[in-house]
Amino acid sequence: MTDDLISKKELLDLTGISYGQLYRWKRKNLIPEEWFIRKSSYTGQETFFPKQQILLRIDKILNMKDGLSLDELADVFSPTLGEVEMSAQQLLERNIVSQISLDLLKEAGREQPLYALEQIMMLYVLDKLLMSGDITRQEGALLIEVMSEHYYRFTGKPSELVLIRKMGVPSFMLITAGTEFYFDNGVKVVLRQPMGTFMEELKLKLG
Amino acid sequence: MEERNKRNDLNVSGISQTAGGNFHRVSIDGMAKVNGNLDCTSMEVNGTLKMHGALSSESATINGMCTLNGPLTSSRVRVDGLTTINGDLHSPELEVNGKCTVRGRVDGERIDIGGVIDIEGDVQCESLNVRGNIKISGLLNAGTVEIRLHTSSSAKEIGGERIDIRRKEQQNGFWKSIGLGGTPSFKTSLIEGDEIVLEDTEADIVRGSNIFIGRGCNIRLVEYSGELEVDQDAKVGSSQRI
Repeated sequence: MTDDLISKKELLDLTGISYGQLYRWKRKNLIPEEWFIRKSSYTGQETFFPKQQILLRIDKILNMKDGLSLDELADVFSPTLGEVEMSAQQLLERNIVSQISLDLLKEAGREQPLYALEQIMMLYVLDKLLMSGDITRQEGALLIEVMSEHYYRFTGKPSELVLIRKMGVPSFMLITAGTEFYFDNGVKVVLRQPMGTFMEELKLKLG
Repeated sequence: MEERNKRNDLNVSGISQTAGGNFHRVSIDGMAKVNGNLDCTSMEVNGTLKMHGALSSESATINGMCTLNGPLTSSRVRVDGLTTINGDLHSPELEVNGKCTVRGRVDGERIDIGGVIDIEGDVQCESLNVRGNIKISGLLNAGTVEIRLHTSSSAKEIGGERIDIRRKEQQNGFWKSIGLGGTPSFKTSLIEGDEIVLEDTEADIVRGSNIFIGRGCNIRLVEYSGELEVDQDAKVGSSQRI
């Protein structure tokens, strides 16, 4: 899978931001290091960005800049987990997850009195995917399994969630962001989502 | 902090070897070797220190000689002697008046260089002020870059808001008389910024809004969106308004 790339020059043209702003945001960790992709071109080395992600991110930064300081923004975008603890009741009240997801978690035997951010994140992802109709309840149980067993390995690192199906049999994967992978013909990639976007949404909801 | 005050001090006056650990004040006046990580409130080296491990300290002052095989994290670092860091350097305030070599990346807020610094990784800071000699093998990303050239300096790439590289007003007798480091010049492949002022700089590409190319520059390509001014003693291959 090759992402659409955009060169630095095109990006600045398109968004109207200056070199200074771009570099400042990079310094403040608003734009992750791994999005700066160095490639050789006819003028020598040039920097490219994953088009979809960077445009979305810059749009967000420009729109949220007024309400939040750059440091607060950096916090929203950082993949690290802060210290939050919430009960199932609070999660319901704040409209972060629905009862269905909590029930699924209960069935999986992973119910807890208080949920840390990592687990809230898992519930949030589960809830979003269930509600959007992307996954079934049975797949939800698989998601709970893969996320509670392995998500901690990606602490502070960007990761992606992948759902594949072969002959209707689903399988979830957590992978390092940007990894390439290939399957045999029978496999369909149903879903591929960077975890970072979920985390950003969640942090905004929590904040 | 209170907890730190309960810690012991570590003083080395002769020759000694320690395993590292947590201390309040560390002062090395003789020769010391630390085999492990060191966490302290303040660190002062007047003699020789050789460390195998990470150093984390509220402030670090190095007047003697120091070799760190590990990262250095501090809120204030001042190097007046000779320091080699085989790891990353993270310090909001860094001042180098001696010679410092970093074999990793440097993260900071304010960096002042009066001496010589050689960095193998990237540099990231809000303001970089150089009145000495600087060599960066990675990308320099800073809010404001101000470099007054004494000898030949270089960086692989520079990106930032205000970039100001000029020769020092009058060549001071000392640097000239020892004849070290070559003629004042700056070499880089790429400079990108909003406000750029250059002198004696050799670069492949310069991109920005308002650009002034001063005497002694040799630049292959300039791309600008605002204003461009080129001194008659400067060489510019081609310039393009974007």
